[in-house]
Amino acid sequence: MKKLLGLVIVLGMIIVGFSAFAQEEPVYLGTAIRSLSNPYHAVWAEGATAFAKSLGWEEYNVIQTCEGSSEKQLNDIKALVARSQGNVVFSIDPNQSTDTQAIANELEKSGVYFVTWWNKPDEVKVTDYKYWVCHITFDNRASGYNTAKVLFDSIGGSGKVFALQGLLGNSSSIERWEGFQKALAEYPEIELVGWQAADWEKTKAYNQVSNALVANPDIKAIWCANDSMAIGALEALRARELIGKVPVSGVDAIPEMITAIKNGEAVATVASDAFWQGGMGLSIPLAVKQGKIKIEELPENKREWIAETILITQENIDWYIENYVEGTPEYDWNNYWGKWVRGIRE
Amino acid sequence: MEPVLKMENISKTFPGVRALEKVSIEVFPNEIVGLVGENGAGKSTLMKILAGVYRADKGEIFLRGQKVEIKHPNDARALGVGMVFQEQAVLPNMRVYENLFLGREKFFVHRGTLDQKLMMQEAAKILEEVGLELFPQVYVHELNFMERQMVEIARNIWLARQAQVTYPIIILDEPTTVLEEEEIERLFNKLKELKKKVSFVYISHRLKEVVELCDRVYVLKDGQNAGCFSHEEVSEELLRSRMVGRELHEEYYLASRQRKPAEKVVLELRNCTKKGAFYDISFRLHQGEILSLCGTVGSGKEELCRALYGETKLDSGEIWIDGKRVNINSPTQAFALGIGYISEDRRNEGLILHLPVFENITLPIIHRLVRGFLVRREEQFRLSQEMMNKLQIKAPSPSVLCLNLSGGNQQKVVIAKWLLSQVKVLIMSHPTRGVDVGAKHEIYALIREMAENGMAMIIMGDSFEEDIGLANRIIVMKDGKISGMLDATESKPAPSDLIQYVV
Amino acid sequence: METKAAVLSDSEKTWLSKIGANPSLIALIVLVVFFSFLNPRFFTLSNLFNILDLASLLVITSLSLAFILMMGSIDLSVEGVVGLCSVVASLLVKNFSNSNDFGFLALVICGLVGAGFGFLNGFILSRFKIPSFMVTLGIGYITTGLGVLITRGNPVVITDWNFRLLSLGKIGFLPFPFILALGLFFIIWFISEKTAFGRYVLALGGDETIVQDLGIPTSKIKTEAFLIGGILYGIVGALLTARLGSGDITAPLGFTFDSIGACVLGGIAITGGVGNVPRAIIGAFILTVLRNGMVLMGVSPYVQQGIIGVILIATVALTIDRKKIKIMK
Repeated sequence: MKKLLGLVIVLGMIIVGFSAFAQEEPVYLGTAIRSLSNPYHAVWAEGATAFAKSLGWEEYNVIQTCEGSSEKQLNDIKALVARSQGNVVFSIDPNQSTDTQAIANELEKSGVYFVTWWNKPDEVKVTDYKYWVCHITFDNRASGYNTAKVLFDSIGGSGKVFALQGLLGNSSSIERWEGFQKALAEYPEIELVGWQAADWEKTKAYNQVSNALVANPDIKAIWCANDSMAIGALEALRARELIGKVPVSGVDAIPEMITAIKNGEAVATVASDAFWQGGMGLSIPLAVKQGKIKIEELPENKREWIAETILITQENIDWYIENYVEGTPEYDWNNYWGKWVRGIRE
Repeated sequence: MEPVLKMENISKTFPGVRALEKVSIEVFPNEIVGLVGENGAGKSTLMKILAGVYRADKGEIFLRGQKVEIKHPNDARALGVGMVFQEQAVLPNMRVYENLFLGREKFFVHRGTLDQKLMMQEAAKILEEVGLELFPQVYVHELNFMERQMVEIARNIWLARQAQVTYPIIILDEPTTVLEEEEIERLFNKLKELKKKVSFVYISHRLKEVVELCDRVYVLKDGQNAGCFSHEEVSEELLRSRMVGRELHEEYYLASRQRKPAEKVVLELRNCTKKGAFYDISFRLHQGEILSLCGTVGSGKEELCRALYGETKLDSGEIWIDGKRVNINSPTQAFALGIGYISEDRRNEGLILHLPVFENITLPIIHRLVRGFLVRREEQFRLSQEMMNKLQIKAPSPSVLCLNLSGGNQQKVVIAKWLLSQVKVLIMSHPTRGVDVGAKHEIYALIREMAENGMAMIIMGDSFEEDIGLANRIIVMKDGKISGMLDATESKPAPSDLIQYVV
Repeated sequence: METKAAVLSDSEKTWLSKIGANPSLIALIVLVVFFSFLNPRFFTLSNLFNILDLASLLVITSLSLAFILMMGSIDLSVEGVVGLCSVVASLLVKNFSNSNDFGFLALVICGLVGAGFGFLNGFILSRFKIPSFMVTLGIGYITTGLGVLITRGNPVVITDWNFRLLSLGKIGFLPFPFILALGLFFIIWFISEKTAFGRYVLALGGDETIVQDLGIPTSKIKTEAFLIGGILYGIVGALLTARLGSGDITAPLGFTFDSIGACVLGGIAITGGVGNVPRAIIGAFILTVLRNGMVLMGVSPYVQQGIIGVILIATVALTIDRKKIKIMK
């Protein structure tokens, strides 16, 4: 009798073991971003969650916010690696470009696959690492350049313009500013009467623009390095009954900006599709972990690459709203290179 | 005449300590009653019971003939008893009239707001009564310490009036420690005038003052009554003897242990001058010599000591140590050259109160106790224990925080610190200030011992008696110059001999 | 002090000597003159009203900090509470996310929410004897977190144009926020100078033990002071929403530095016990005028924050009560 029982138990264990093996093991999905209090990252988090849901792994979806602290970001990542015992993949927006290397070293040491976004130091090469799958960024210079051009065109290519930079010293800010300067050089009749830094913040932008409008009452257009500041600028214009008369541009495609473009108060912004970032940032390293992508087979320009952005202007605003705001575009999380434009170093 | 206050057979025990045993005192109208005793004798406890901070275990209190229960400071205030503590209880950042009525504004509130005009008028009245000539809206930080004290006294008088008490009692706890000599004179004059309306209980260590000011003096010893003396009978000798229970004469200063100093000159000053403070000071200090510096406020003695210790710089003149010319530009340098300094403000300048005894004692020589990067804790302890035994510092162990020691023991720790660091010259500013009689005696013994071991000392004492009693030699300064040098080794001059040089 | 004790009323002191006693006011006047010379646009009506408008929110938060600093405490929860109230306001008035329509009642409700957190600050501080630095920092984090939780990071855009008049409206030529700030200023000033409570706040900053020994309920005073601060933050939150057209938890970034800076620049010591309410206002204007003036002068933005930092350090160095901090840590 005992022998029969033993046989049944062993058989049962084999069956259970097989079935577990047959299903794919859930993997922890780590997303490390700055904060949920801004709409850009909020949508990013939604994308990550949608991806997790599509696999049925909601409980394994972990969103980490570092609130601007590089140290917290690194500690949180380490903690999740420990908690999951290495069974995790990461999608990371490093707090500062200088943090990228420390994060990469840590995850490399732990044998965890990951993808990074936006900022890293030029000298650091993804190809030197075995677990760092990709670094994906967006062409900040192009964003600055394109939005500036649309802005200048909207006032007929000539007139006085004011600009708001983001956080001085932040690489996105610096790159977008370079794009702006390039466009400025192409428009000889556009005059930059002044610029200020509003630290990516709405209230500061409001205050700066209020003061700038006194210094230069004949400003015809305002270029902003991101949408939050653009909204602040718009409100300052509204307080002086100049809204709609002085066009504004930004970057990030936050909902308020979309509304402003639709209302004709703003003229341009750039969408990097945070939702896509959220999901794809996890899908790619997961694919490597599951063997669907082999890192050794990826050429260098697929290890460090630039992804597509969408320039939104008053011309395609309706299309954008229809597809991205009211509806959610279909995201094929397996289409890893769908938005690939070119390698960073090309 | 009925006493205003009668405390009868008051007993109080704290855990492990019997603070008061059947103590009785009486206070009559028109009186300033002194209360003296060693630390731990019970005078603070007795007064705190009266002020409602503590409750007596046994005994009764009668105010103006009525038996009363005082459970809380508010009760005491309502009964017309006020206490003015040693640490000033006025707010420097507020105006005089605000301080006078702090906590009792409800008398001036009119529909939710303060009637400040009324407050100022009331304040003016009470200020005039206590003889303080100031505007009520002056900020307290502009007043000197004596004036601040008077404001507190005025506050107490007013509070008693509010309680409709005709004859208030105000307890003054060590009121003169923060005052200069001239201010003490003025305070006494005011108190003498005020005693027509208010009775004072005057607690002090300064026996000379008590003898001068008080109509009667109670002595407490070990929690019990040890005598009550009228103004005619009382003297410092008498009080001292009652406080410690033995007759004290010159032996108080251990004059018999006085030695002739060695020949070797450890410190020499030649024509030292600092403009505005002292001029052309020259003298020699020998090994093992105790030199007293006497003088009133403004004589320059304090400034001279500070320059010797490197806190300030000389304008001209030379300092020689052990036969070599030196410049003293900072306390660190002074210490390196073998000069130490004990300030009278030991709580703030002598000790780190929150640190234990052993840390404080070994602080100047910590670098000698280091092995590699680490301090040898056992060495620290051992040395500290040695010092504690030697100086009879009463504490359970060297790890006790200095905060918890009595004033006398704290001072001993400071002295131990300098002893251990083996300085050649130790400058002591009022070394026994605020210390009770018994501990003073012990400190004098220490000073004698240090002299015997060859340490030279410059002392600024609390009184002529102390200066004379301790010194081998006395230098009197007046208006920045040396006005007299007296020998005190062969025979002791009398205070009257000294006065002619001082003023 | 050999003068007869008499009652000298304040008005008998010449107004010149009153100004002379206040270096911050002189500094403000000097700044205004200085900038007027450098850019004719500075001293125009349009710019002056611009300054009044920009200073309003800072004035109100500084009123709270003034009270709290004079008491010897500090409040680091400004940004959190203002941000949360901004979000609350946006959700209460007509907006895109829900069907509420409380209109101006939202201002009152925000005041209450702010009061609640202010009360928490004071209560935790006095009951559990935790330093104000820590308590307010914690409450700041909690309120920010709550704001993020409620909005999931997305600003709540409002559609109530009447409500927006709180910021966009004018009475005569004066921007409404300024009028509100002025009104609040008088109220707080009155409380500070003319009520026992106000005097106790200053006394606490002088020496808390003395005040306690006199039987004055210090816990109650601290709690009330923070409560008043909270109400002010709530009002600012609602105003912010009206100004920016949406409730955004990150909108008040920088308010803490600015409010404390304003108080310090005006001459309120960070060590407590020194100062009065008007000084905070002067400081708020100094800060606003500085920023406005630098933009008009075309000072490089790289340098602007640095200049403000230097001025702040210098002011603290001059106003700190060194007796309270014997050794600089």
